Amino acid sequence: MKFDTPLALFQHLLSIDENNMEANLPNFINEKHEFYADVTALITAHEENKKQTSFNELIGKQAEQLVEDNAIHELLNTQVGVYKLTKKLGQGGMGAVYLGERNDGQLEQKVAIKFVYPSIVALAGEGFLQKEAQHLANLDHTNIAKIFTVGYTNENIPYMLMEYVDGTPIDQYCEESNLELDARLSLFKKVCDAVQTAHKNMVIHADIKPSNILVDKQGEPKLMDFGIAKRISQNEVSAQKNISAASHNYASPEQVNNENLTTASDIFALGQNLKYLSEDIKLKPLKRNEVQSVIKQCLHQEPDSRPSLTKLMTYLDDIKKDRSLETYSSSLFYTTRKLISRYKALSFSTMTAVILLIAFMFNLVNSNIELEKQSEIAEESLEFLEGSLLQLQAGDINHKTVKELVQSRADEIENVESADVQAKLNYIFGRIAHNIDEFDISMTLAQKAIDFFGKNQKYYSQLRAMTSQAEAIRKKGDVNKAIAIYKEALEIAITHDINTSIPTINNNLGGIYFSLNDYENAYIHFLETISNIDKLERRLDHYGSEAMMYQNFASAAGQLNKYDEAEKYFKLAQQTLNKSSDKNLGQKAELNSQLGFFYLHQEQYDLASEYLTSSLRSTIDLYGKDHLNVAYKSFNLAKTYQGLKQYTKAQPFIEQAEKIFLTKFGEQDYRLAIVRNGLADCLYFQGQNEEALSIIEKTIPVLTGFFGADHTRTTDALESKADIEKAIAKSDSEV
Amino acid sequence: MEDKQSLLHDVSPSENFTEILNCWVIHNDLKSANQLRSIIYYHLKGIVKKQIASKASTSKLIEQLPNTTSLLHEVLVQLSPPKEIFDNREQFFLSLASFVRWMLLDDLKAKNAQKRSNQREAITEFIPLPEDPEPYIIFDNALSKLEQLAPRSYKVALLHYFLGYDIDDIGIELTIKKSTIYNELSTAKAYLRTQY
Repeated sequence: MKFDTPLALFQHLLSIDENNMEANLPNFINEKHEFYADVTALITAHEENKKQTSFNELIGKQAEQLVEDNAIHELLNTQVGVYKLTKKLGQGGMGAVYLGERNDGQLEQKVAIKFVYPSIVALAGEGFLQKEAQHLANLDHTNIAKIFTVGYTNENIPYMLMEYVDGTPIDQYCEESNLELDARLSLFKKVCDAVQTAHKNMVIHADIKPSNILVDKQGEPKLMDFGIAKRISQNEVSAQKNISAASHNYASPEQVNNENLTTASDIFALGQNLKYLSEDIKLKPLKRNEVQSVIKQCLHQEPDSRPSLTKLMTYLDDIKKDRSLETYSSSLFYTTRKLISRYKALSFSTMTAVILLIAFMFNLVNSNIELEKQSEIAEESLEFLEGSLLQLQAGDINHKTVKELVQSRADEIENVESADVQAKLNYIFGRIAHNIDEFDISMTLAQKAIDFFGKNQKYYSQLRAMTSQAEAIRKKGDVNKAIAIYKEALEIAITHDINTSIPTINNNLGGIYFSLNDYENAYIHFLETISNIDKLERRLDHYGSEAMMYQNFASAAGQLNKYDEAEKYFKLAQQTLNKSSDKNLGQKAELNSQLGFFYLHQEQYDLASEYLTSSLRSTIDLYGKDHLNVAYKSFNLAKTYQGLKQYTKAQPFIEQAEKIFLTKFGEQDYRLAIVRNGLADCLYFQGQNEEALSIIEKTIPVLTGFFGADHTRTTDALESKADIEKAIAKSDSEV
Repeated sequence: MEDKQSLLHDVSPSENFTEILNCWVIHNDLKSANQLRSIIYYHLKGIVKKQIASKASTSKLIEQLPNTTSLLHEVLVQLSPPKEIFDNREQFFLSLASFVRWMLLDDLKAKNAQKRSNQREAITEFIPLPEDPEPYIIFDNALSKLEQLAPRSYKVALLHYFLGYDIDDIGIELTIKKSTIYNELSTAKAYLRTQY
């Protein structure tokens, strides 16, 4: 084989066996050959090359000569217009910034003078800088560093004259000032607002990062360096599109892939910034989740799926004000919950889906998720199930089947590995059982949870389980035991400073006393509740719970004739309920009813009729016109009209109530009797005495039987009867 | 700044295509030589970054500039008539790479000439100026020699250094086996190194 050049031989050796070139060389030529030295050199060079070559860098360095970019790094102490460049403030992918201090003897003024690399200016084409500067000058916002003008130095290097911001990067500022989440979010929201202004002016920032957000001495964040701001336009030349000095992690996927930027790219960057700003502060798990979910939305791969700025800012407000977030729970949880609350009753299939969900969560739980996450899942599932099952109407679904399902799942809890999660699940299932009226199961499970939590000093969880147990016991009828448990719980809460539980326990205790007509004690505990309402933990429907507590207190106050207090707190309940993002129709109806009853009690019939009418309407909507609740409300409304002496109006409502009571309770029921008395009155005042009499004759025996002959209700009825008979007699005589 | 146009005629007219390419670039859409320079600058910067990044053990996609090999291509493709590209694909890319190589060298020479003429005003004529062999010029000279010695090796090196193509890319363009490309490229590199 003949080789024309050493290179050719080298190439051949390389192709035979790269790793043994030196060894194989003697097979072709010997040391004395003229090529020998050169080939050996090539082999050595190859070995060296395998470690590294520097030709690319050489080329790169040379390329830098193509453009005069480096010139802008040598401008210190030069003069630009009336300013001297006294300090280099920074440099980045787009150019360099200097501090310019005015030295023409006129004013003392500091500005930032920014030089863009000539190569970039050239690349972007003629007029680029002018146009950009114009757009930026149009952005008039407290939190955007202002652009004053654009110019060229004597050497024809373009620059922008900008507002000088003496500040700290926002991440540093937050850390140094030890800012809490709320304060950070406030700052961040200002930045979002600034970005929104930019977007409205067709400018995308495209490089939002902490070092571009300086917080000045007044604590105002200033968004800087719209250096690669791009017009939102589809018609730009591709050359501009390709400029991408975007700094690493803040660049959105489309930016990295050099696709078209949109306002959504800024949202991505904002998400990263929020992540960065919230990463290393301590937050409660719930709050952390809320923040994370917002971040996640912003960081969506698909630009279109990211939230708009308006939405983002609303989310920030929600986090600060502790309102429940639209995005908070996992989509499965929240959507399902909403789905269920749309229906008045759960169909069996929906219920099955719920149970299957529980099963699914079991699988999750038994897989390798860390304990804390498991606990979080457990919390979430509880809330979900509570929410969905509260909607359950007894008899709407095949109760037995559900019971079996719940029971079987509950039995499987023992197979769960972690004792902590077991306890949580026991608690959850205790609640589920409670909601389907299986109080025995509920109590057993609650007890298991209580035992575990108590032993392990997880007081908060223990208290929740005790509450659950007390409720079940109460529903079973052992009121005293329930009270005892609550009192024990209260002690634990006070001893161990579990402040969040104090309002809840007091509220439930108050409820028990109220149902026993012990309004004094009810009042005391409800008062404790609202006095501690700020300690209440913010759960998903916080406003609903808060309103309910006000309602309870107002009801107790009303019973004790503390009318002013009652009215005040009813109103407060109304306001609070309106803040809730949930419709809370049921609760609103209840509140209206309570208010109506309250005014009725004080004989303010006009107000009463207003509230009761509204409440009745909602109740019919929610429960259907044959529901028992409708009966009570109809009756109260009728009484209102009777108070206004509008008997014709009252009558249909009483009849509605009568019909329902008759169906539900039968002829001999005392409630029916009371309603019928009302009807009798109605008829009597409309002059229909005979009908009135026949009705009241039916009611008296029932009332006597139930209340006794001496009871006011009985004696009142007897009086009415007497009046009617007198009236009949009178009209007879007139005839 | 020297007039680009006059220097163009020094280009070795390997293909008619090369002239067309240059014609389009300079005359038609890119209004200034500066703009062209900037494009090539970013193009080369991108290649360097890509090389450095791929050598690092953990190179995140995000830390690399987007594929700027396409930057130059994209600009020029938009300017050149499509038909030409399709028919002479290999030629197109080789011409492109040659163009970049040429531009670098040409610019360097021009700047050196400028420097020398500036210096001449400052010092007396009869002191001869030393010929400083700039590293880059050495490199470029070596390339020329490689072109003569091992043409296929040269082509591979051209695409690699001036268009930033890696072995896979080159395989597609030149329709040679990957193992061959590796061989050719290693040969070129070894040779270039020995020229220092």
